[in-house]
Amino acid sequence: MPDHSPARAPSPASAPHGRPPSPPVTVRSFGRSLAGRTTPVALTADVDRLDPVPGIARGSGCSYGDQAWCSGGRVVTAPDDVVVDGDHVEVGGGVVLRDLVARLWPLGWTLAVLPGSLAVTVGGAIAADVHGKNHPTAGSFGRLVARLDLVTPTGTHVLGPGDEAFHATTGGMGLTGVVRRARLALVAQPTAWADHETRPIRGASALREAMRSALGTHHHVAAWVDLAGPDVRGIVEATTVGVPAPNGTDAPVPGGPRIHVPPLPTAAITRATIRIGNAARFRRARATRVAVPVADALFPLEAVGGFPHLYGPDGFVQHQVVVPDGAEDLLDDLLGRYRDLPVVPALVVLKRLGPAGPGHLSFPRAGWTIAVDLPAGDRRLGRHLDAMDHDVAAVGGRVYLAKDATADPATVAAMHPRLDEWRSIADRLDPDHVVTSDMDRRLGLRRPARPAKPPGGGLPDTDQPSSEHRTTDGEHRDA
Amino acid sequence: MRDGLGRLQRVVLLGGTSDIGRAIVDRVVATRGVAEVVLAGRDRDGLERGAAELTATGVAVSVVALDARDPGEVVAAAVDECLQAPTDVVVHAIGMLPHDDRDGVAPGLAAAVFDVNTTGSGVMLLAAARRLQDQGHGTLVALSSVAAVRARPDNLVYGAAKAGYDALARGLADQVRGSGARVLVVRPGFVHSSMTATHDVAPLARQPEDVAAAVDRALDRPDRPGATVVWVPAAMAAVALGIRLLPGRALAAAARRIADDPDADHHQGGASGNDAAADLGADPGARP
Repeated sequence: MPDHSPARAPSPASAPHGRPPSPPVTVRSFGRSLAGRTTPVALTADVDRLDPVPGIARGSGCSYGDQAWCSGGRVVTAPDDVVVDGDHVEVGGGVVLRDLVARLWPLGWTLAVLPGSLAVTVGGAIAADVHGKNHPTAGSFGRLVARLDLVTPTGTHVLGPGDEAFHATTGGMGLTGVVRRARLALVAQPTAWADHETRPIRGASALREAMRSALGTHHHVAAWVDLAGPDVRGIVEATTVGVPAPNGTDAPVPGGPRIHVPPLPTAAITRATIRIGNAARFRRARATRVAVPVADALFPLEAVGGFPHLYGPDGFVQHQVVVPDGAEDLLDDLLGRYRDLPVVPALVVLKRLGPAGPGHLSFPRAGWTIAVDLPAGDRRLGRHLDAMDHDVAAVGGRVYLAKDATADPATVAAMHPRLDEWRSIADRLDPDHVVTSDMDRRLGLRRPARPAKPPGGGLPDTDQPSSEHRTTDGEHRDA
Repeated sequence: MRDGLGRLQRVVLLGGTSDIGRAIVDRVVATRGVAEVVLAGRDRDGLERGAAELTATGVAVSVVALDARDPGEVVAAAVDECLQAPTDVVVHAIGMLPHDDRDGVAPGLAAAVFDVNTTGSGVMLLAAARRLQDQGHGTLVALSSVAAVRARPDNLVYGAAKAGYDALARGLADQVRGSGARVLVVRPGFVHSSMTATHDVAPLARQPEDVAAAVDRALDRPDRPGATVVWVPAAMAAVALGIRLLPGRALAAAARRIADDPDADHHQGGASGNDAAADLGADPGARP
């Protein structure tokens, strides 16, 4: 989007070079609990700087909140071309990882970092600095990036590791500009088969112990946790990729979901259905070690499309935090608090994270990360999550911004000691704060937040003040 | 910005001393974790008192001077000032209710009612809707009245003024639909408030908190053409349909009967139309 004369500030819908303006569209968070109206614009080859119109890059829309749209402004989509170049790949920011992996695996290459969902784009993976189940050894996505071309209101910047704008962009939630292209390092993956071990475990500390020991023999470790049952229990899953094919043929590449959940009039996920489903899953689980396709072992979110519809019209939010090593007491405390929430903790995943990378706002740091899917229909949830975030901040932990839909601006600021440094870098790339999202506005990331929410915002537990009992028999009242 | 649980960050109340307006603000502050409230109105002392009450609950409050009888440009500028930062909900709760008996309303007072309820309030709705449309999100809550559906002999001036306001608000709802912003048109029946304190209580009377609860629920409903109007109580929709279909003569007779009914709720008497005129910025609740 080239410069327009300052006299004619372009509207969100006016596209450069006489292309017909596209109408605003409604976009939703992955959890379907938030929506916005925004105007899509493609980042074409002739554009080397962003128009002075509020906007943010948008990939596949896999963020759980309002990260990737700008109400009343634009969403910018990046190109999706792929060129394999030796042990690197040159990709457009709009390339979906599933498509990229489908190109790479048959050639014997893969990316060392792949998130649990392959539906995300390269640009989104950079903006969230995503991690896989192998974070302790592989680091986060930013580590693969050898170069990125960032389109900003001040022009296109070619950035590499060591540039402060590069590290402000990895994990920067898209708020430094649009990743047009990136050069990613590849690693060899001899086969698309995996050595996959599962172990059902009872008790939180036993789960952690099992995960630590699994990391001694496998690269990818995660635990599915049941917090809806009578006590904490879970299944540790450990995976090593690229093992010899058991029958001499290579495993299929991920093909995307085969089952799609349509919109449902009401929630299928309730405390009762989760309790029954989790109990069945735990009871069925055995200690096993088998060879499975990598796609089946590492990308559980690939199995079912549209699963957020299971939460009904209100959708869900995901609460993901990292609790640093040494604060395991808080982790145990959080497990208890999730169990006591007014809504059921529907899907719970526990992972180990390794040391923090250089991204200013990147999520990972050495410790435990827990991700919990929660039905969004009950506003009382807010108080509980605010209090948990507060305690996580107090031990030096963080919320994962790519998942957030509920956090308090002041708490988020407290979790990110390098926020001011990041702001000044982003301001140099975009002095007029053109690049913005609804999340940016909600959390005050680029600009200091407005006053913090009062402690305990959200419905008190006993609540629903009803005035039905009031006398309305003609007595005059002053409200 | 609204969050994933429907909690809000910034709420603006035009008519900052209105009982219904405050009930709505108090409710969303209590249930939706609001961080910042702007109170705009004419009664500086009343606004400061309200600001102190809200500040005590932990909310950041600012106060803006706003007078419905100022020139249109001044009114619009004051609304713009309220909406400088991204705003989730704007509540418009300004209106005056004269005593409109068989003697009618004095000309000066009638003009003031139109000035406040239609002209000045209309300018505010236009300015607020424009602003929300530009920001691409947020809800404008326009406090109309059942009286807007049909002006009856016993509230002719008020009803006629609210009819203009109501038509504008519904038109704005259609205009902003698709932008991400939305307009809710709230039509309460009789609501106990400082504006109606000296008036006869009508059937189906409700408290400001009832209006607040209905608005709170409506904030979570998806925006559809049929979902613009919020009746309080919900049964008022049927009553209003009846009132609209009644012949004029029957309507006048019914109004007289209610007024003369010795069992009906009483006058507190006292306040004259002039007092009401002095009470600009009070509630828009109305008699059905």
